[in-house]
Amino acid sequence: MKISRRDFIKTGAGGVLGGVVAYSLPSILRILAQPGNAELPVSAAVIGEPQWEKHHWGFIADTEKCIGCGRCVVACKQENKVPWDEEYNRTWVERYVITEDGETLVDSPNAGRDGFAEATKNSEYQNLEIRKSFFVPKLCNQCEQPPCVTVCPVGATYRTKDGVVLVNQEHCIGCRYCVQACPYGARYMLPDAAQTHFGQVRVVDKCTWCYHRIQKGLLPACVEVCPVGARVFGDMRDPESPVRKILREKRVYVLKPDLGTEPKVYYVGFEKGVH
Amino acid sequence: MNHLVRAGLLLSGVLFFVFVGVRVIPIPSFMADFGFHPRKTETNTLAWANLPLQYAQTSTCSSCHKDNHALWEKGDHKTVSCENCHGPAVAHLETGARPVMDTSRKLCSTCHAQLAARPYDFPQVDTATHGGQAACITCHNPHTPRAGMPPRVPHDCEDRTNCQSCHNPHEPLDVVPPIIPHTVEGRTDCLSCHGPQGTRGNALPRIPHTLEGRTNCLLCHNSGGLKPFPADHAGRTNANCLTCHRSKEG
Repeated sequence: MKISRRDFIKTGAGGVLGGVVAYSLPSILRILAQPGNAELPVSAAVIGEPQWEKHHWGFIADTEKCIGCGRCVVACKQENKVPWDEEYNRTWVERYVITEDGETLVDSPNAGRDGFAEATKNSEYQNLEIRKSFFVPKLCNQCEQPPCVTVCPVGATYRTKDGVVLVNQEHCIGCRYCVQACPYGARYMLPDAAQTHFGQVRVVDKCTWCYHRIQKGLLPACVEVCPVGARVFGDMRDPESPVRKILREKRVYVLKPDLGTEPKVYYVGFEKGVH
Repeated sequence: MNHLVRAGLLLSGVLFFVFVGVRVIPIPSFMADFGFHPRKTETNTLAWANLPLQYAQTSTCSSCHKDNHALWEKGDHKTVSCENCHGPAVAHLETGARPVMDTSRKLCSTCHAQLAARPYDFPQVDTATHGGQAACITCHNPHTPRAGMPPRVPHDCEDRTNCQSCHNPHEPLDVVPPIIPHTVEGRTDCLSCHGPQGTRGNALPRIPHTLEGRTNCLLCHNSGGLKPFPADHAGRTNANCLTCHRSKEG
């Protein structure tokens, strides 16, 4: 059989076209059947309607009030299924010791989980000339310009509309790039043995400011249990919120401001060397 | 040559469709969620927002435990939430399971053991000597820990050694700050009971106005005056208001 060049091209193109249409048919039908597929409806599963645009959360950590009891660490671990071991923490407490020589020493035995009273390191400080010492509560700063979100290669970590950085643990591939990128050490990997909320291990977990609590009008667990008011949480859009009140009345600073991450954890009680 | 140009155009059209068009049609739109800039995060945000609670809040506890709440809200532990010591309460609400609580010295000392890094005015004790090694709750009711304890020293004790030079039991009450309400015979170290730990530096109310041109406090603050002094101030004169109360300007 002899076939002209024109017929060959016609037949070939027709065949390819037909194949494409046949192959695409299911997805075309799916798109036609669900015209609103592009935006998932925000279901009303949360108590009340989510009002993500109405809030912008902020956090105060007061180094002048913190007593280093570590109850915040305990509450956080219990509220958020954070593994009990010392290396996995969404929040922790550091003790800064500044010697007469100007040297700054930092320790955080068991991340502050058991308090500092019986810490073995206390004896190491016995022979030092100490100028001052104080406690600094640490947690995710929920940066306005979060480097962890920028570096995530799969878009698994993101900022919500009310300013909290969350991780989609079902999309996280566990590459640890964000753990490296966070200048505050606020992220950790869930170990194999962990009981997790979404059943995922070897993925990244971090402080959510107890997103499930604040959406229901409760305080984050660490703020709820703090006995001295060293942790304060509130809505920055509300001029009467306790956070805005402290921001009005006190001088505050943020950790590593030079990095341009624009943290939203504001520290009361500035001291050179705290980072 | 014309047919070759046509063939070329047709071929490039087909190839464009194969490599670009085909890719757009079958790839479902939710694949964009995996991309560099995810467009839809609502599902995951909702999942986080709907996680179960473990801790409730103090008002939840007080709706049933009214007796302990009444003690607690007047005591020095009123800033300590119930669940700080008692542990997360939601399981107790849902199943009735009693929260397990540590009542040993260890729990109390997480806050009250003496540590240099703690704020100066926070109540701290030397756990090695304070109260022997008895459980703290033998003497202290954790809901109102200072009930029945000797009153605190309301001022800084630094550099002061002779309490009785001011608090003399034999001087009349209108000359000096509070008289000692018990005999001082055989007692030399006031601070062993009225420890300097837990002093409240500025607990006494400051005078909220300037004192310029005012010498007679009792003009307004006498009983029956515009703003009378508290009942337990009876017998004090103009001479000693400023012993305890500082004016607005310092």
